[in-house]
Amino acid sequence: MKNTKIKRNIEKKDFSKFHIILFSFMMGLFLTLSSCDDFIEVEPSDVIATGSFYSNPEELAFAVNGVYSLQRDIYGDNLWFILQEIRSDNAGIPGYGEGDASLNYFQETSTNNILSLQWTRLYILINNANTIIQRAVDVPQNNATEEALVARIVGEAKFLRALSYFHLATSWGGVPIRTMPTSDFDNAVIPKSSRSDVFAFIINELIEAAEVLPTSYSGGPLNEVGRATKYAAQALLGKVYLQNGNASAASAALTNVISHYQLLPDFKDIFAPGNDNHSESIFEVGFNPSSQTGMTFNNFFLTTDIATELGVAAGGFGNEPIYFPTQDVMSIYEANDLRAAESFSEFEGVAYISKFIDPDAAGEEGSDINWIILRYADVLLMKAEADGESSASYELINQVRRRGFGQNPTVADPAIDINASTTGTFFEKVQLERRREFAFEEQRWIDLQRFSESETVDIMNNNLSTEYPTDNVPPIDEHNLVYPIPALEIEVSNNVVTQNPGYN
Amino acid sequence: MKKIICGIVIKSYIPNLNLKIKLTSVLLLFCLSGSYAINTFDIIDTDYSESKDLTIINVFSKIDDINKAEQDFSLNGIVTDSNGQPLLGANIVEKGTQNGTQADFDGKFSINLSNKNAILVVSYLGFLTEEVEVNNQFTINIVLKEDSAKLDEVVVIGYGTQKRKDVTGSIASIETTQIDTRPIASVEEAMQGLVPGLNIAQRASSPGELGTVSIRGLGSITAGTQPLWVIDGFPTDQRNAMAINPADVLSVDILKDASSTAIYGSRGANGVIIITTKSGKSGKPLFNFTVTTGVATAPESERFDVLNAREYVQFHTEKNGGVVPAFIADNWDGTTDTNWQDLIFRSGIFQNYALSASGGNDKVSYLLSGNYIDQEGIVIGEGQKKYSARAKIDFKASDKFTIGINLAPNVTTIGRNSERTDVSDWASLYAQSILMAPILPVHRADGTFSMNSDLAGALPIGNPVETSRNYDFQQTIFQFLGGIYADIEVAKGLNLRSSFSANIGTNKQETIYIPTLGQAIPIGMPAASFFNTGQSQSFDWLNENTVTFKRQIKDHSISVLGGFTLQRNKSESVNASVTELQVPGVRNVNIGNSDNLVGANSKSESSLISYLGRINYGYKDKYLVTATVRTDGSSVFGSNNRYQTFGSGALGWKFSEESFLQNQEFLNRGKLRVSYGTTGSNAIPPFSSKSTLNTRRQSFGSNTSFGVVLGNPGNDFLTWETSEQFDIGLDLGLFKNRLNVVFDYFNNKTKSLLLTKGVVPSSGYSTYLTNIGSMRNKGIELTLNAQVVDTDNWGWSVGGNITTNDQEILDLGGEEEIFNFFGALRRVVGGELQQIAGPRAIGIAGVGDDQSGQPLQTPGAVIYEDVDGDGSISNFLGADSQLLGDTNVDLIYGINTNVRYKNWELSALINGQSGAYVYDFFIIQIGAPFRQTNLSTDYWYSGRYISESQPGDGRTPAANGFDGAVGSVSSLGVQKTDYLRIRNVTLNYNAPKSIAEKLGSSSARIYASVENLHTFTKFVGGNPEARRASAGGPALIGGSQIPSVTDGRELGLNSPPGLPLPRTWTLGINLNF
Repeated sequence: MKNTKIKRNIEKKDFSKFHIILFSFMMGLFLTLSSCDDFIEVEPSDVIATGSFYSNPEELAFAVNGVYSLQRDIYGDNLWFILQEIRSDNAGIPGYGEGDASLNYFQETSTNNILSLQWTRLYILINNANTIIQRAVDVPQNNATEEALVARIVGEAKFLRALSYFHLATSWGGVPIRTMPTSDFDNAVIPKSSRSDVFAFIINELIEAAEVLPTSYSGGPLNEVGRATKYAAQALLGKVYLQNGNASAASAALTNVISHYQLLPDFKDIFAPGNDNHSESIFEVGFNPSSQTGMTFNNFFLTTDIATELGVAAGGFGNEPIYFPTQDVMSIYEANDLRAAESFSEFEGVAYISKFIDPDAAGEEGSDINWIILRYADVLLMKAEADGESSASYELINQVRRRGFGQNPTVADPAIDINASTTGTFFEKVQLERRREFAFEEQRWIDLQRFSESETVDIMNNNLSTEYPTDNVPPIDEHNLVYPIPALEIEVSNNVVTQNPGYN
Repeated sequence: MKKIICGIVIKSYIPNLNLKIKLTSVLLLFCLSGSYAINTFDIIDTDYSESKDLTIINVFSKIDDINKAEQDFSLNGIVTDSNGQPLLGANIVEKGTQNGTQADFDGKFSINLSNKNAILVVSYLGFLTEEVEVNNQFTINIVLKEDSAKLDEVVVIGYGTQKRKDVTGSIASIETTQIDTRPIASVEEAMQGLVPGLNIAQRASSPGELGTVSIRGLGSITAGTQPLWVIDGFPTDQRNAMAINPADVLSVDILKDASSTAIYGSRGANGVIIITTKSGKSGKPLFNFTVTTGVATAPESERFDVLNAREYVQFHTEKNGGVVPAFIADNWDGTTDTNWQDLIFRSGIFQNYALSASGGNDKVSYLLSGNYIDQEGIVIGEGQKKYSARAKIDFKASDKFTIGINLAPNVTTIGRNSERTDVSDWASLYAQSILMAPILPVHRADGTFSMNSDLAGALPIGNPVETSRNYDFQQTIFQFLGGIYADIEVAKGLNLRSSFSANIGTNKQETIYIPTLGQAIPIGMPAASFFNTGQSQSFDWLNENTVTFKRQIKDHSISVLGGFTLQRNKSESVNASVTELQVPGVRNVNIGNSDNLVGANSKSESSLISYLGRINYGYKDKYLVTATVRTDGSSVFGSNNRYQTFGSGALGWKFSEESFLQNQEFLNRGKLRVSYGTTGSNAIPPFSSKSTLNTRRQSFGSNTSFGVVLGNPGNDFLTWETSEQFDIGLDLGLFKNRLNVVFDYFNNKTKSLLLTKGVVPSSGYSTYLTNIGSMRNKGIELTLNAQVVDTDNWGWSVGGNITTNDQEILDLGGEEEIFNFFGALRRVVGGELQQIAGPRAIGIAGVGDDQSGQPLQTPGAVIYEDVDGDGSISNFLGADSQLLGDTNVDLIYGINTNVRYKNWELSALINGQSGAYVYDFFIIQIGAPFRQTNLSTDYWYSGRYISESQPGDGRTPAANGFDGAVGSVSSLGVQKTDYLRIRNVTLNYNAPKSIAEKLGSSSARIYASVENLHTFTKFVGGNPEARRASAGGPALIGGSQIPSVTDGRELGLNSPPGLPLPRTWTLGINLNF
């Protein structure tokens, strides 16, 4: 015990000095902190924290750019092609088994991975759009320019959200309508709405979007050409009305779009690599390898041999095309219809889909082809379909036909034009022309839904038995016209979300 | 002869310095004039309150004039330990008197004794007290033996130390004397087997790879199972612990129960390992020099045994129905028999040089040390070099004020010339050397390198010789751990301490691969020439402020700790890689194809604020109470759950101190301990609770824009995993403390496990991280240490420890079963953490056996159990899948023994484990008989079915009897990992002083050591502790093969096989100056 009180007392004055030094040392750091809570409030700096974002119009614009980019996920690989074209009578897939092939044969189950992936992607887009729409309410808008920008961004978000809901409703029928961002995971379940409620929601959204969206964009940051326009919203609105059986409303909506676009003279230029946002295109999803956003799935259509023959850098897949055109779709074109050669081809006896070929597409970078969602030819044919049989409607159809035959669309040509005396019902004639025009453009499956259910079932059963004669594919019935709701949605919701009829 | 003044006691309060000087002067004069010597100068102050009036009572309470000069007797001596090291400050007291002295720096002392037959009582902390008869000697050498019971051993308990005898928690300690002769590059390599409850598995045995550490089993599914590493008070990670110079380590304390770990709050759930480094002691400068060199080899017996050319041809001929297959006939010259493993293994040189200087005076003590370790791997091109230094200085500015600094920079460079052996199934040299067919020569006739794909139909497995020339990986890790502290005693027993420390690290990596021109790219290798360079930096700082108060008041001893700490971690990394190098060999990303240039960076940050407190209370040195509390606030958790309080309570009863146990010889020491408490685990990525946005590119036409999309969903309610831990322990010292027993029962329950939970996909998310589920680890630990023989010339001690662990998942947030790794591994409520699942092989078909429904229907094919009786065998996802074993280690043990004869000492350490299984995907998928790769002799060849008359061992199928669809994820791949390993044998020679002096040193020690002498195991394929991550597995699940996994270490997977643990022979010498 060396420390004596004696000494302690002697050094008492010094102690206060030590105290101060030590105390300062100890507290020095503490004092630099305004509070303990601040010390443990650390925000990430290499990613963006959601909490503080969406605070001004520019950040909203970044967010809506993100929603556009999510469309690349939806259309940029082969999944949507499987659900829209492979499902239809336009294209097929070799083999009989799980996964993609089961969707071709209508044998899929609710656990099908492609279904749940695509369902999830559509709802991821919706959740992102919901976040923008909800957060925009609180974004300060200091002047008319900012007000207009915020209103436009909300319009874009609504357009993109409506398009996703349209895909959901035409694929699954009634689905949960989500309009708020997901935040409380313990109460995240929302039951399905009816198909008609979903359509009513979409229609309302598109009307609102059309009111605030501009007819065109001037280019430059935040005004890039390629964003959703008023016409895109009206064209989609027309499509939605038509799909929902409201022909007059469809016609009215589509009328607004007429004459603002024109058919490209040459059919093959529509999907030409690098030909972005051309005068026929109303809305398209941008892909560009040089921005690391190339499209990759279109080379699924080529075998290695075909790719070599065509000089496609990506090189194709194996010896058999992964997705092939049906015999049926290849048989619908008349002689001299240039669209046949632009849609499919044959190499050494192997038929392949040739509509979207970018010879410069390299493996991982993909191709420079934008995916067109709405184009003017579609508007013309939809308008004809909505208006019903008339000479004006035939003229709309014939404009599209003449271009397909390499002629001037506006100059009548008796050798090409169709009219009331052409065989078939008017609806059949419109649909045949649509199938020729839009083969492999992910239109056919929803077009088939505008036939009566029994007609669609007959068309598909006929297709299955003639295209796959040796596979003994069981016939389908009406329940197959919508997909099963992904099992995960039903399981995790504890059956609050119910399965579609005919599936378990 | 001088007379002795004993026991000068100043019993009161002296108001000023002058008086003290006067007093001392008077005293000295008195001594001189009267020929007295001052023997002890013991100043004891009394309670302040008793001495309000400044009186001096009994300044000289007793002047013991021992009279009779003719009876006075002066004795000189020296006190050393059994190694001849002087014991500075040893106490020497004449028995029955107050007469005593202390040994000086050299252990020398001088004492005046009352008679020539006096008995000296010699004591020193940590050593057995000796009574020595003087017997008329004038000089005497006293050798103290270390006290094996270590009654006064000090253990580090977190923010303080405590005497072992007063500890109420479960703490095991490793002293460096147990490991300092072993050929190790870091302390953790030597810890396995030494203490119960601690399991350090050598998952990857390449130099520089971390072992996998767990204490009392794995207590978490996702939030980390690593204990907290604390280095000189700095809570950090294993990589930092590995960087320490092993020669700098004073002790390693392993805190295992809540009583000891609750002081670390949210980081204590998996146990705490505290490493304390040596400090200088006052005394003359002491230099310590150690050099150890040796050689490491890959023991033949522990390599992956594969077929030779003849066996390979035989096997594939059988598989081909008795006809030599074309791929052999076309490629084999009939004589080539390449032993590919011989081409990659080598003898690696191990060198370790350590030099330290320490010393000081009553004001300053210092320790300076430097260390260089050069460890070559047993595989060509692998190795590490470690350079480290330390400067530690403590300065006593006054009696009450101490400041100190501790700086420890170190640099480690690690090199390899293949993919890490533990990450690639195909591209590591070891995997290639196993898989390459022995019938292929190293070079083809045209001089190019052969590949396995030279055999028609085989996979392009790379030639390991080629790979080793084309691939280079270099890593340089710099770490600097440094800190300063100040400690002040503001009142008697009341200390304030404040420290600021920082841990700075950079990690630089470079990989370059340049394939041989014109040669096919081997599987698993980059598709073209490839260069990657990356750097990461981290900066952590810690500020700790504690107040401690210690007081003994009559029968009550009390010690209180309070503290406030702040810690912040910050790290960032940047990485760039490029392919198609236009100028081969130039290490610059600009040399590659700029289209393929990929860069990335990341940043991470977290902070922790804590308030802590602990009370240790003892009554009559018999009854002990410890209570601990800590409140942590952490940035990594949800904004609604940032703070949590953890705490523990413990009771101890030293029943051997009770009067009814006093008068017996059998039990010398006995203590019962009970503790209960909660600790946490916060090892999740820093921003898991935050909802974040990801940036994405968007192309409007040909314009590139950027956008943001929702990323991590976050969870504002995310909080700690909490572990509730119960421990009951018994410490016994028997037969004069020659048998020591420590027993513990533990039961740890981890609640609110951090798991991802599914949400409805329509929410826009698939899963989120939340707190659900619970699991439990319980078991016993038993340690026995016996000093069987202990004479001057002979000594023999034996020790052993054993730990059992019974693990159970109690709840998985409502799920009965969670599929892990595609369902090949499963977490099942009621089962252990990880269960292996798949169809079970029940035998090998003979001729005429019913094989309907089986995947293959030939004699010699595997027969699987048809669990659902549907007449066919499903793969591992179907109805015939069953649980096949678990990956938890149920039992670990260690045995050590030490035989001493005079200056020679021989010690051995054995350790082992049992009860864990592993899914060996290398053996049943990569190196399975359905490929043309080489394969395991033990697994597929030796016991195989050949014919009806040669049915083999009944477990091994015929060469053509193994199917991929069911078999490649089935019980055929389940291996038991039980082993017993002779971990180390060391022979030590303490040179006698005469020899040491010839070497110019005060003491010298020479030792020879062998590490990993032999492993006894039935495990096929090398190191049974190996768990591998695989980066490039085979095909997909459809055909029943499992794809790759990023880290399989704790999954219980093995693929590719781990390198054998190197057997290292070393010679070393340790000199003290």
